[in-house]
Parts: sequence; structure tokens; C-alpha cells
Amino acid sequence: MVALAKDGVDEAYRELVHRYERPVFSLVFRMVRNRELAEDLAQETFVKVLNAIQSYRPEFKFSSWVFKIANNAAIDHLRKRELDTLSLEGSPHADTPELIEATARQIGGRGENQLDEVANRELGGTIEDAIAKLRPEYRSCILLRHVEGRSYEEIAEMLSLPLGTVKTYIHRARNELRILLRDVREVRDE
Amino acid sequence: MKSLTNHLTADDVDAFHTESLRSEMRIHLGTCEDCRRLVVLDREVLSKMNRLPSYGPQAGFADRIMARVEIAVPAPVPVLSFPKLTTRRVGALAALAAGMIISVAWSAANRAVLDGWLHGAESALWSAGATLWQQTLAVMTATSWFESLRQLSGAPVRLAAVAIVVIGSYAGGVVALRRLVTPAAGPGANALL
Repeated sequence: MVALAKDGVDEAYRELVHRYERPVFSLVFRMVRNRELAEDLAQETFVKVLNAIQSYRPEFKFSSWVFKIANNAAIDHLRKRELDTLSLEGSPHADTPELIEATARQIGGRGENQLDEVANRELGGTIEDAIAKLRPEYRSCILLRHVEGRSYEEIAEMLSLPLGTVKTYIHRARNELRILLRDVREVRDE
Repeated sequence: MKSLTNHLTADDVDAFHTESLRSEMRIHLGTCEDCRRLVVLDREVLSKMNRLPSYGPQAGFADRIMARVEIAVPAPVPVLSFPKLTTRRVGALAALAAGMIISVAWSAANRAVLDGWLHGAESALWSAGATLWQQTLAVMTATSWFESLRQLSGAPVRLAAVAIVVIGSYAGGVVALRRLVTPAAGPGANALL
């Protein structure tokens, strides 16, 4: 299919999108927990992939390439959002309480939080909530491993991380999930 | 965040799920309540993750992407084409063909003359080669370093040392050349995005 797309066959492009749209969208949605944003990022991923299809090297698994770009897009967004969230606490140059108040809430509004709430409701369930609490790096590793079923080696290649780091991230993530699950259960039992 | 237990390694937990846990750890699991709880909880986590639903984008997703994608048609492979036949080119080709035919016919008719020429050329080449070789040897033996080289070849240990130095220099040169001509490893096209 990739070879056909490289030959400029329109249907092959569409088939590639249909084949990977759900896994890519699911991964990005679970990373950013916002449907509209996930759709934008997934769309961006496919546009990048398809526009660069001529430079695709077949020694690299196509699905891994797509996931790599999708994950990069999600991580970049989360990092950017993290910076924006910092601005919620006011400008770093603000030195009086009035200035801090005035410069706060300029970036990242309530609208985004409401959207997040909608996404949280959609991605309901204890495990989804627990995954959302993980660090983004842990989250992408554990989603690729235990939701997408990718091997440790593939994940290392996709995320350009050493194999040992990937294993550590996944086991730390699982450890955190176990603890969160146990805590939820204990609260329920009380 | 505290770990649930320090007895099992991450690999042990993985091994538990694939039923390849070492026998001593299996025995340990039978006696350690904390570890048992950990593997049960871990199995539950994995099972919940495996059952997570997949989500799809809204309808028309592919159309929206296709509207932004430039379908790249690979450049056509150039096909070899013959140059246009003009009167001048046809004339030149005809002259070339006629020349070849005349040459073959003459060679067939005058084989003895051709053999004589070939033998003459061969012996002339041999004698020129031999003269050149003799002259080269004469020039070499007349040089100042030839005597020391000859003495060196008389002592096998020194000869071996020289051979090692020469081979080492050659290998070093090859490695250096390889480094020079090998392009620097950078991210591949796939990794650039």
C-alpha cells in the first residue's frame, strides 16, 4: 500500500488513512484528552506522513513511523501547554500582587478546562483516569506497549529512546497504575 | 510514590505474566502476600488496558486530510531514445558500416600480412618492456638508498619490522580514507518529521 502511495495512487493514500486513523487518534486522544485537539493533531500527523511519503524508508516499519510522528505531535503539544499553564500563575516579571493578578489567566482559559472535563468524562473509567495522571513520557510508552501492543524494541525505535529507558518507563508507569488502582479500591472499600 | 514490594524485579513481573517465572520466585510468591498482591494487581492493570476501547475521529477525517495533501507523482524514469535520423547522421552511419565491412573483408583476404604485423608489434612491445625494466633496475641500484634497503633485507627481524610498519601505515591510511569518505551519520528521512 505504501508502494502504491509512493507511485501517487490517490486510493492508496486514503487506504493508509483508514487503516491507521483509529489507532493514531486513540493514542493522541489518550495523550491530550481533548477530542477536537486530538483530531487536529491526528490530522497534522497524517498530512505530514503523506506529504513526506516519498522520503519514507522501507527499512523502518510504516506504522512505527506514523506512531512516532503522532506521539511527537502530542508530546510537543503537552510541553507547550505546560508552558502556557505556567503563565496562569502570572508573568514572571510581575512583582506586585496586582500585576500578578493582571497578567494571570491571559493564556489558557476556562474554555480549555471545560473541554478537558468533557474529554475526561468521555475517557471515563478508573484506568483511563490513572493513565492521564502519568507523566507524558510514561503515558506514551505504556499506551504503545499495552494498548497498541508494540514491542519494547519498536517503542525504543519510535521514541528514539534507549531500550532500557523504555523498559524503565513502562515498569514505573505500571507501578504507578497499580498504586493508583489500589488506592482507588481502598477508598471504595472504606 | 512507594513501590508495592521490593522482592520482585520488573522482569520477574513480566515473567509472571508469560508464565516463565523462575521456580524460586514462584515459591516466593506462594509465601509472600505483598508480592502476590502486586502480581494480581499488575495482571488487573494489564487486563484493563487490553480492554480499553479504540476511538475514531469524526466522519470525513480522510477527506479533510486529502484536501491538505499534495499527491506526489514520482518523476518519470527517463527512457533511452535514439537521436533523430538526419541525412548527415545516416551518411556517417553508412560510412562507418562500409568502413567496418571493408576492414573485415581486407583482414580475411590478407591474413598473412596481418599476422606478420601482429607478430612484429608483439616482439617490439616485449623488447621495449624488457629495456624499460632493465633501465628501471639500473636506476634503482644506482640510488643511494638501494644499498641500505638491500642490507635491511638481509636481516629477517628488521625486514619483518619494516613490513609491519608498512602494513600498519597502509591500514591506517585505509581507515582514515574510510572516515573521510563516509558521510556523517544523521537522522534518516523518517526521523526528520
